[in-house]
Amino acid sequence: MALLEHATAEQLRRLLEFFPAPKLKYEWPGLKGQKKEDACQLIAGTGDHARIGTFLMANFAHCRQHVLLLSRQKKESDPLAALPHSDLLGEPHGGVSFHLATVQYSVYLLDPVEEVQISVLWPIKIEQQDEITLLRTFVLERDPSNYSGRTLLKAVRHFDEKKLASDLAQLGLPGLDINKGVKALWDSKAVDAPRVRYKESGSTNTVDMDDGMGLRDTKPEAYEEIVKKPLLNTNFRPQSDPEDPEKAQKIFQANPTFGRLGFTSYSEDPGDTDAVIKSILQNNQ
Amino acid sequence: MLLSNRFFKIISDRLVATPARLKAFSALDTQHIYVENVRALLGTNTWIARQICETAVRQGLFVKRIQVLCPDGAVAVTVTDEKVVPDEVQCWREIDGELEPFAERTERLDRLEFYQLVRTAA
Repeated sequence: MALLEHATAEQLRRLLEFFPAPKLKYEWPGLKGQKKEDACQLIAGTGDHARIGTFLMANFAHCRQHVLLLSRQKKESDPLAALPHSDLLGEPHGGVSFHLATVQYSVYLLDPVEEVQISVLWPIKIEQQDEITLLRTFVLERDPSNYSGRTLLKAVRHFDEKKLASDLAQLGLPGLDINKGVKALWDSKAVDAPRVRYKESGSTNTVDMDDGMGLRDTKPEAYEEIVKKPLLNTNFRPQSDPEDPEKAQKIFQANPTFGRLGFTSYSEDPGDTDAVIKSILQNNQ
Repeated sequence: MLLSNRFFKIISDRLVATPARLKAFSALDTQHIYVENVRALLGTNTWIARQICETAVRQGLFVKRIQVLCPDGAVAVTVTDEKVVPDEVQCWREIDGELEPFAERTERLDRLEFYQLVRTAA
């Protein structure tokens, strides 16, 4: 907990900005009517680190996140070894733990030109399930919030997310092939794909559907062929629901061949993200 | 019995010969067989499909190859062994509608394995 306990108000403010405004205002009802950035500043100003930590763990599933599904080839493999230095936040139940890491940025500001170091607190959730490890991290912004009022010229992040997969593989945690589970979800008609990237003999192909239509419903013959091949970065969209028109806007990305999912929209229902992962894993066996 | 025939017998024993599966079976490019092709063809899981491919390698029927993928999924280079993967490859990215080459370190890139049927076994 040391990273959270010793966090500055700016660090707490950046941490709170990962969360959707309605969830912040539900937890701190006195902030209704405030802009999100102001609400984050006010909550950070309370310095109530314990409450912020509890809020973080309870609302993790609502946030924009990357999920790595890893095959645990060695029982003792610890995914945290591939991540920046982190502290344990809590272990609410068996096999699930929350951590907080720090990601450093070098930020270049104008008027006058100055290099500033910024440290962003980065929440991580790890779930151990038999021979599978789920590693969830919040989607990091390209540029961290800049509260100086000065123009930000450039930000350089000192953590290479692109290298994370190969570092984890070297630790005995390669990406889990979830083609079977993702294709079962696709076949169930719960989702369809407006953009599909797949590998076939001699080429890597992409299908971008017009007007965001789904490939399975619009081109069933192409769908039947594509589901026999390894899928790469593919966008999936939940089927439209008349009672929840916004649901179909919540596109998620999957790279099934390498066991990666990306939920880049906020989730109203904490079950949205979990339900997708659960369905994929159940059907992947 | 030729090794290839033995291998295909293993597969065909697992295969319920529906017309769609037989069509997929005959359409396999024997020089580019991905684990997922085998899994989808047999309707099995990835673990079993991989074991079948690895068994074929041990029996001298298949050889394994490794593709190094650019961030967009395009194959930058295909090698016979991880030890001979170059440190850097050229990839392409689209910036403002124009394609520009860039050098990428291979330690940051995904690997995708595939198998080739050894021609003398065919």
